Amino acid sequence: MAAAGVIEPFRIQIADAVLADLRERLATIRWPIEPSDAGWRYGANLGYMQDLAIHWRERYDWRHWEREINRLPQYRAQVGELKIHFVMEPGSGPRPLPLLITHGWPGSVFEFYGIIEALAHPERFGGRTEDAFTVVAPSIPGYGFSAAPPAPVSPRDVGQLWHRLMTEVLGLPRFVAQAGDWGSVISSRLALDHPEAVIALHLNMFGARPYTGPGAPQLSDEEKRWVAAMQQRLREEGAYQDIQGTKPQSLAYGLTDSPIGLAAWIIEKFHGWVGAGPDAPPPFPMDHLLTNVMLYWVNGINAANWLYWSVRHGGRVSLDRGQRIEVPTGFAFFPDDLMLTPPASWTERAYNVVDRRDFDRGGHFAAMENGPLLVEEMRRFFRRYRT
Amino acid sequence: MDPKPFRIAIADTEIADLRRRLGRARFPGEAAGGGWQLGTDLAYLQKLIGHWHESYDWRRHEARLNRLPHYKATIDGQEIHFIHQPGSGPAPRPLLLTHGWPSSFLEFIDVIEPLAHPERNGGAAGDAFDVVVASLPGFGFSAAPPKPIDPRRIAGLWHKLMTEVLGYRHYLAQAGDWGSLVTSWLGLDYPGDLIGMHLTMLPLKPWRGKGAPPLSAEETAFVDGMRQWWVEQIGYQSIQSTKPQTLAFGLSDSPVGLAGWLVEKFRTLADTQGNLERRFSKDQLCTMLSLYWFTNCINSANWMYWAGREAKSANLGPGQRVRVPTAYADYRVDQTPRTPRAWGERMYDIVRWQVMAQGGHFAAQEEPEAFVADLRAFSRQL
Repeated sequence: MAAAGVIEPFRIQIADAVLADLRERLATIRWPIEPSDAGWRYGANLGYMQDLAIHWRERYDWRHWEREINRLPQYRAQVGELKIHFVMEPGSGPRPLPLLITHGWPGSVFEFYGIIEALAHPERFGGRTEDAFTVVAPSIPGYGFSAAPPAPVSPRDVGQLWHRLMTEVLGLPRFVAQAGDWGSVISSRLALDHPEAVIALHLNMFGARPYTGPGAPQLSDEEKRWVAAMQQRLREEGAYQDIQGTKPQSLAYGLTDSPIGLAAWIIEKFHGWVGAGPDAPPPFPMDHLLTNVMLYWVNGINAANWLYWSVRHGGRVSLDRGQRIEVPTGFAFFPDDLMLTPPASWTERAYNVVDRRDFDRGGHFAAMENGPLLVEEMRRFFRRYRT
Repeated sequence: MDPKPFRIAIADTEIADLRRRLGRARFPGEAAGGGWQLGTDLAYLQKLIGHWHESYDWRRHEARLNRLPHYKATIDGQEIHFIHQPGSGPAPRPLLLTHGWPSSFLEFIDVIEPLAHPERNGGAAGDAFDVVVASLPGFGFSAAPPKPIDPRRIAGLWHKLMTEVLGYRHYLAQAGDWGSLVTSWLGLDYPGDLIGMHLTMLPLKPWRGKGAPPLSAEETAFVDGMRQWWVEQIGYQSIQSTKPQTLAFGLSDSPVGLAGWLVEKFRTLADTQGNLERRFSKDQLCTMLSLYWFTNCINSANWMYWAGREAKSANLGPGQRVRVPTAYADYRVDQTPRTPRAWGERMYDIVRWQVMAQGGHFAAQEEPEAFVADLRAFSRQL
């Protein structure tokens, strides 16, 4: 095992040949048909994807976005067996609070592109220096420029890597963590395993499933309704989990060989998880959607999908009997998320909930949809944990 | 409605385009150790793509397929491709064969001749059938419907194909997979016209609510065993029945994506015992893939799952049962449990029940002789 601690500065530099190959593929897309009443009811809309392809080929400038991402200080470090990519922006003032923020699927560190500077340097955005964070935003193994693990790893494994990254590699023994999606699952495991390191958690998706087996307090009617509604939701919206959780390799071929196949697989989620409705396009600039897709195109999506396989094959999301995350936790719930806003009693089964805000609009990708709001919420919540 | 003769003639530009795509294949990595545990094996797929790109000769297979009598007919606005091979002797029985997913009319090409002309194949002319093999709407050379249509509506088209287009009064039907659900609806909706049905899958789900006899221990074990098996297999159905369009972009643009999606199904569902080429040569696989590719039909083929789910088309209501004499040939698929006859009798008028020792989900292709013999025996029994 290589020693932890060697931090190499990193800049994204995609080879011209990769971009030329991509252009060639985009110029020769063969399209599927779609049902006459499609909209987004059957998945990604054909007309939107065709517009996107034109934008990608004719107007989208990867080199511009490469420069933009490279404005953020990035590094790679050997952590355990894996080389981990992360953004680290030291915060302003004498005592910035170390903050670990973790993306999910099908996102990337690019989700945080618009908020990292505001988190690290509030004074540049009309805020107060005392609210500054030293921001660490790693790419999950198999995502973006972090190495793919040789085989599926569990959220708990990633939580362990994050602990080593923060404490051993970066020398930050105590920090706060914010996340949604897989980041929330990973951060919850991290808080469970290393409560001494995580000062507080802020989550915009529910990450650890409470224990509900024998001996657990009975579910309330409200909880039962929520569980049933979630099951129904996943029957309609959860198929990507079923395939990624069982035969990810069969899916990976089309997503690796076809950029439009990849874009559809990813971007449909940026439509469906923000409440856009069957007849409206995803409410994000195409440039932002494509930059996130590009991180998957140049690095491959296959290993990113493996988290779903891992949690169906031994990697736990549910807590064991008697387990609870005692690190103080704040939630921000958005009504249009894939995951329906859970009852308070459900969250309290799994977490030491000290704060909760239910927003009346917004969806799964809080940092991209409404960055300033999320930043304000994080400043407010974490303020009490500054010393 | 008059059938028009049809010949397969893929344009040279299409063949060149496919070769160009295969030549620039961009493969994913795989989990350490490889194999089929997480889906289609990378090393195998690379070999198959190499064969498709460098060795496979579509024109040779196209010429062979064109030796069969192909037709197209438009029924209720839906263009249907079918093969119609009249049988020997004075009174061949009309027989409609229907494939499923991810299959096609190709599943039956080796049984058409022996079914139509048994006397040329070591049998008796009295066993001859007028053979009709139809491509499901949205599969192969049958046009895609404007939007997904469910198995019951397809059964309506099939009945018109047999009675109005081809002029048969009574006929037999044979099928597996989605074809078996379409055929079951033929049995439910046209019991007077269907002489008998021979199925290699029993797709209907019996009424389990009020008034239904309780499941026996054997049936319970079967239902549980199937549910257990589906846990690892459900992914393709989930996505095809809820977000088929999202999936379709990669599968329509990339022949490698298409192959990766389908090849695993042939390995899992056929009696391959882990070795795909025990049942299918690379050429056979490439012909199946080429048919899906050249007709760009994967999206509309996947719509079956959408329409089937929307219509809940496999669920029988209280007292509902297929009253047409039914033969079931139980070909074992993967590690699934054998079907208890009592389960089949809940939905069908079972008159023949054969447990097949060899062969899996693509019976006509895997075990053509046993398939033909069983079908003839059933027909004689009626």
